[in-house]
Amino acid sequence: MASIETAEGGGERRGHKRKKWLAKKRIGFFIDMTPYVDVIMLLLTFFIMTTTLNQPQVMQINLPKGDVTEVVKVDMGNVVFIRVSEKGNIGLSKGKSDGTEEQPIKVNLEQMKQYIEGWGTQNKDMIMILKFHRKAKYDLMISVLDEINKAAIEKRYSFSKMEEPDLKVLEAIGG
Amino acid sequence: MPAVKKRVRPAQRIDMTPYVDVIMLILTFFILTAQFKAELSEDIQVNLPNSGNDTTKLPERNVMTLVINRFGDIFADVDNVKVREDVLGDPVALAVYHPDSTTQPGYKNPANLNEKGELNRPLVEFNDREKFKKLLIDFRLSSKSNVGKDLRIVVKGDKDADIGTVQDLMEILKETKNTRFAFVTDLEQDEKENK
Repeated sequence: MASIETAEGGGERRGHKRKKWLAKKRIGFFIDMTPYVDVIMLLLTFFIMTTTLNQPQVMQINLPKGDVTEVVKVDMGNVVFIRVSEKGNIGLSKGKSDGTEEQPIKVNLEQMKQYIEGWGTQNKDMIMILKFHRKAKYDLMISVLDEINKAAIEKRYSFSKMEEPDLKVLEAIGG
Repeated sequence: MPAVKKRVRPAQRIDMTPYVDVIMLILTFFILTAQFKAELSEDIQVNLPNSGNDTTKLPERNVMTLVINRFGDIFADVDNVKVREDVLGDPVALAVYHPDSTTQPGYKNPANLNEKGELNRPLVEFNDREKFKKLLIDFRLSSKSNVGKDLRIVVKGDKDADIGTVQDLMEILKETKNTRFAFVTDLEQDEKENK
């Protein structure tokens, strides 16, 4: 109501002859939003700058529960050994049912994926045993795990310690 | 022509309301999605390895971060200040353990830890494997009683860290019944382009 009265008063002061509907028109008022926008823009810039869009990913690992000393017996015929040497060479070999294993093949990451994909589709019970040399780089371990995760097969793998016989096997492919 | 002279030119005003509305929406989006970097990731620098198909995102809260740097030191940290104070006796302290006795620990020289060459947080050294194991268990128990939730474990390893250290850590985790954990990786660049 107050604004309507002001409008009328204003009209009379200027001495204009106004029609009734015009006189009732509310006076529009503006709030100057510029400082408000300035502050909001600053905030926006701050948040855009501090946002990290490239968020790190995680690779989920589930270790078997239970006692460390527990021994799981598996059929050697289902086992595939993946050994990584100190130099970063990857040796791939298939176990035989009689407890021995085939000659290791030296592979790169891409070939490794193809081999385990091939073997994994043939043998659904395939278990991969990963043996990494202590001095090999962690980067390679992630790459190997990544290739295994990418392969379109049942993922069953376990980590195992590298021992003397493993080093001999690796020597066959150049250490 | 007095009529023309009297005509007042209205001030040019642009209505900013829709503009402000849109900006407020964008601002809200960025505020909600903003995640501030954890203290630790700034303190200990590591180059994360790349991996192609990990789709799980890094958990945000209630995380125990185990950082392995290229010298084979393991840094253990939790994001909750209370838990830290409870277990380490200092709200900003950082636990460190060097598992491999055959290599030299790198944490003694601050220049090894990050580019700035200084560490703002006091280091609590653990020289004994059993004590470090106890620390991990204490972190979990304290988190359970203080926050009420179980800790999630992430392992942040440097590209050049020895696998031996990672394996040592995995054994420790297994022995302390922490059988679920995650390796933190960066998304592989060429994989991104392929998609």
